[in-house]
Amino acid sequence: MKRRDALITLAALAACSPGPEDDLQVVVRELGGFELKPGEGPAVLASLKGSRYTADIDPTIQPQSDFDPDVA
Amino acid sequence: MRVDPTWMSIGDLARELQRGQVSCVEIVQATLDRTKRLDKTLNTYITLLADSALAEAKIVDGEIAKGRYRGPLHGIPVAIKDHIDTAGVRTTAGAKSRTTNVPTTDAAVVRRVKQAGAIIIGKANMNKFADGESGDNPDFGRIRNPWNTQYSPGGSSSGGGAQVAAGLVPLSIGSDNGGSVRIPAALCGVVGLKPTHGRISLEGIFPRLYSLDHPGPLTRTVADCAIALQILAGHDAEDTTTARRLVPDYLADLRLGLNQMSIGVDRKYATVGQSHVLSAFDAAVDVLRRLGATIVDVTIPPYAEMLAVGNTIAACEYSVAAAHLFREHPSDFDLAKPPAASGADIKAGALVPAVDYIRATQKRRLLQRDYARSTRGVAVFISPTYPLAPRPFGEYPKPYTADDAIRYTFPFDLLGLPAISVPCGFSPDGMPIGMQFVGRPFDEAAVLRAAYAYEQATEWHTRHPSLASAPSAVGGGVSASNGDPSISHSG
Repeated sequence: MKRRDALITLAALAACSPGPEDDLQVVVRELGGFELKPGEGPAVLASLKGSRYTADIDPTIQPQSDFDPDVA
Repeated sequence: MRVDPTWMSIGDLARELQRGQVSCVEIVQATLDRTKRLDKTLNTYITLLADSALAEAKIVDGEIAKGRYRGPLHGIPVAIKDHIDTAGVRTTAGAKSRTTNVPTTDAAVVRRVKQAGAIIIGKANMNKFADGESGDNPDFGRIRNPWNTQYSPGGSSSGGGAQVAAGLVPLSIGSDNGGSVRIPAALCGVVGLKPTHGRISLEGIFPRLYSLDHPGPLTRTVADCAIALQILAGHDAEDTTTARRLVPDYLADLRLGLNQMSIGVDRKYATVGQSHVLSAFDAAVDVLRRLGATIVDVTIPPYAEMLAVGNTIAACEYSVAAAHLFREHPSDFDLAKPPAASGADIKAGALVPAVDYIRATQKRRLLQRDYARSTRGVAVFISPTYPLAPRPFGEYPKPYTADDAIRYTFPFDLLGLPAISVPCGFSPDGMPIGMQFVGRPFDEAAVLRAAYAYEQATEWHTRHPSLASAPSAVGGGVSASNGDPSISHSG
């Protein structure tokens, strides 16, 4: 699977729904450079689900990576 | 020896050293003797630097005798969390797979305490990779709470909290990205400060969460914390996150009292926890009120929002920081339990879309703004530090979860604000409880001043664990005597 296909598969996985573990393996290998352990798929998907911030947000807000002491 | 240094503050030790009432060699020898006796049980060190500490102590005594006194850390024993680089001394980050990691240079915080004349006693045991708050290290053994050695000391700066509580050192340098200085401080009955992000350099410290990591001191008193911060704080050209801000004299205003200081409380940040923890916090609020503080109800952003943003940022940043560790030694992550990250979590972190991370950092900016606006009228905000009293190792008692464990601490890592934990009471079975004071950006002085006023009005900080019931060694003990990376740990 090429990177583009992996991204498409990831998009399908974005809802973090269980799917064929082979697909997830390809995505994890392609995007993360890791190998899945047998049966690890559900744990990865559960963790992914808890790690996604998907709320709508005003696109004019500057991202904040370091602390800004002059906020507000 | 004319002076017993065990429970002395940094300030008192410094005075006695300067007056010649005690020598640095005497202090260091007493420190090492006590450590060798107690650490078979407490297991707070991964590497003890006995020989180099004594050699440095002799040099310090010579310097002081010649009138070359450097200041309040000169000759003071200090421990360093073992994910902070020390030149020539193995730095494991709590993982046996890293016992061959011997840095060639000191981390910025180590350079600073050495320049101040402090004596490095050893490298403190910790939660593996500074991840989690159990104090349960599968590689170097459980770090035990001096108040009850069957109990967790909290973490991830577990060794630091236990060392200071047990009278092994008056200062241990740790780090905090979810509560890792403040939680062990609370559970061990000592003081722990996480300063503003950017106040202390992270250079040379094992990166876990780039935008959430904060180095910080653990001490037995607030004044000692101020002394330590004075040395540690300041811009570092090697760390682009450090601020070019003036470092004030933290001791100058420490004793000014509360003087009608406005202190904010958000009741939703004081309602989750064991009843004796919440009662101790309520009693502390009454003490602050009696001391002249004006207690103000404020509404800061809810924890669920903080957690959602923090989880995304933490997942991505840890996946990047730990990827090479995981590839080289995947088994290092096999025993991780929430809130520590497993291999599955690291893999998942690599899959989080970049847009999610960017959205989270946008939301963090909004949370910082909302917090600042909601606390505009108050000098400090207070809450419990940890919802539970110290407890046996293992699972959280129902109904509490890993998310609950960091609900009072993690938000202030996310917001980057200064926060200090001080003892505020004891549970019915005699275990310490902590509360925290949170300040405005770079206003560590207000945090220290409020915490000091509270500390001096109470007697919690004067209590020490008896350690009389310490059982024989279980799961580890002090190993290397000279930081020799070839000497393996016994635990």
